[in-house]
Amino acid sequence: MEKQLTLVNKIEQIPQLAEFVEQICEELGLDVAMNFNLNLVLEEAVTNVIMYAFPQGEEHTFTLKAWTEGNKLVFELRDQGKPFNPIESAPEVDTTLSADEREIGGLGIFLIQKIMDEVSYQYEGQSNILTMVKVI
Amino acid sequence: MKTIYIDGPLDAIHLDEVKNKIAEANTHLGDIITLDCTDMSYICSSGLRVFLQMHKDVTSAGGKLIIKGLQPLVKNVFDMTGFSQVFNFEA
Repeated sequence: MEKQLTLVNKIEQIPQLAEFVEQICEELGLDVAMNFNLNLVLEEAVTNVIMYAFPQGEEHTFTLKAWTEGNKLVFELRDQGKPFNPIESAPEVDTTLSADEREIGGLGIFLIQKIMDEVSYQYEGQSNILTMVKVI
Repeated sequence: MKTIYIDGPLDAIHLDEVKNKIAEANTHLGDIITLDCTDMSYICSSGLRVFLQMHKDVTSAGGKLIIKGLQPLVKNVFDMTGFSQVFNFEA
């Protein structure tokens, strides 16, 4: 399986993402829980790019690729926005704290790392490349 | 006691809609406020943040926020982030 989705940095693109994930899950016979979690992961990652990668008011495209390697489902999100390592930049999330102590940020990347089995970032050829792997 | 009904996916697109709905409900923060999520099919991290902020505002004003009827997959997002310990839930 190999699929690619080209997106524009507009929040209205999010429903396309849900369709993309649903197609993949259908093709691979993954259940609704996996579909839900993968959708969450990709929305978090893509929303980050849409909101922060490019200067406001400018329109840019970026790509999301998905493929399988044995029992691994790999997603690669690639944008030519400003260099940003979401893994290093994320504040630490302590899930044991009370409401008052809980910080409002950092949850998106936390969920991505929680749900996926491997998450890595590299900056290469003026592209941010976020690779997210799930064992299926 | 006031109930705010939230339906559909709470994704990045529907975030403002839900924020407006909460603002328009014109609740007194010192009250008991129920967010009825029976028909909320999805929540992203920005949605969780809206709920957390509301919980903080309501609680600090002496009120109570109750989250009602979470679907199992949505509840799992609360579990993964440790928010299950933060909020008051009702079936």
